Amino acid sequence: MASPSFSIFQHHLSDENYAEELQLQEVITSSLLSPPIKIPIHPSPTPHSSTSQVLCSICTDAKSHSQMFTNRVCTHTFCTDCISKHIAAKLEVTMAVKCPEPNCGTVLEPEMCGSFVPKRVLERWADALFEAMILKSKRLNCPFKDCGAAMIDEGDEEGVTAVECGSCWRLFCAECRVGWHGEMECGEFQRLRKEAGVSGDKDDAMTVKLAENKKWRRCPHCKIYVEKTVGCVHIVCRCGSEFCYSCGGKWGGAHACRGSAYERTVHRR
Amino acid sequence: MANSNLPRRIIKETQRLLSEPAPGISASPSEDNMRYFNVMILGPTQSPYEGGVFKLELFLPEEYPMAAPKVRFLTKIYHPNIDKLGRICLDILKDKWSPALQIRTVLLSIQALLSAPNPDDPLSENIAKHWKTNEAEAVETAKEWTRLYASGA
Repeated sequence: MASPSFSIFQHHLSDENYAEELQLQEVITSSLLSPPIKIPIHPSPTPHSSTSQVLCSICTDAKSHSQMFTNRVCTHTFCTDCISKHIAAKLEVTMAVKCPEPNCGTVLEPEMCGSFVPKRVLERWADALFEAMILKSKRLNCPFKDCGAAMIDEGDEEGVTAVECGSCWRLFCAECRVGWHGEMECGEFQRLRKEAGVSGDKDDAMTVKLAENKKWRRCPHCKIYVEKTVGCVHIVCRCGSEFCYSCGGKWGGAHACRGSAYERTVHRR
Repeated sequence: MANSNLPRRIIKETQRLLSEPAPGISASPSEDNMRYFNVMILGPTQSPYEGGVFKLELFLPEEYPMAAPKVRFLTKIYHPNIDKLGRICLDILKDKWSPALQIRTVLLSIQALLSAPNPDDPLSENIAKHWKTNEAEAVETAKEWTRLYASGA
């Protein structure tokens, strides 16, 4: 059996780290060579226990109190470095960032973390919160290419689809998502459009084509394209809604998807 | 090289996994990649998987612990939340992941999933349907698969 080599042990390390890694090396080597033997591991001395330092349970490093983050809602504390990374990572997949403590559920707010979270993360966070707010209501984008402003569809009056963009002040149809088609009914307009073979603009068509090629799915709620890299087909979108990557349909207790073209593709590989 | 700059947290977790393994669970890092773990979970008692030894692979991505470990069953298993590729439908491996969770907690959750299959959140549609329409028969199949594929021989 080849003797295991552990390159991590060859780095220049502090004495404390070196001692810790030697211990690990000993444990791993013995566990690889023989069935489990009980190796007494001396609990590493709590570093700096005499000074007022605390261990962050995420990075397991000793930190000073000023490096720790506490919010006013729950009592869980982690170091600001870890909280900052946690926020950045969660914003990639969700719109609401929670306290890392499992089952805590306290929602973190930018105000609590403004002092240590990088500016670009804060901006992203603000965007996510705005988007989450818009998603709760009905979201609408101005269909004019040079504008595209996001707005909320208040949908006050039944059957009224003419909307004036609050940004560029042009009139458009909220149903057909095009510049206002005058007095023509939406159904009629869409029929004529189909007959004429017009299907959205070129960029949209390219996105759809790309999505088809890449086998991306669209969230049935917020419509964002999702690409699954690993894991199972039950997708929890960043907007919080759940769907099936296999059929693209909403996920529910009775989700019965049989059209697993995606699965078959995976198996063919 | 994969093992350079291994965060202190991973070293500590590995130490603890090896020195104080959770009952019925073993996880040891691969010789050439300390982020890759060979895992074995014993089928919990009073579950259809009792007596089985299930092999899994666990990988800690570069972003760990900010991203969840990637875990997959290597042993074939008849379970409504595990598909034929061994992928596991478990919330803490996805949106409910938190950096305060650990390899140990993940493996314990997977062990718990074996004790309590959840056919209402299925990954294997056919198995889930089987479970819901005829649980006794589905459990029998699960036992059979455990004998066939997870006997540890």
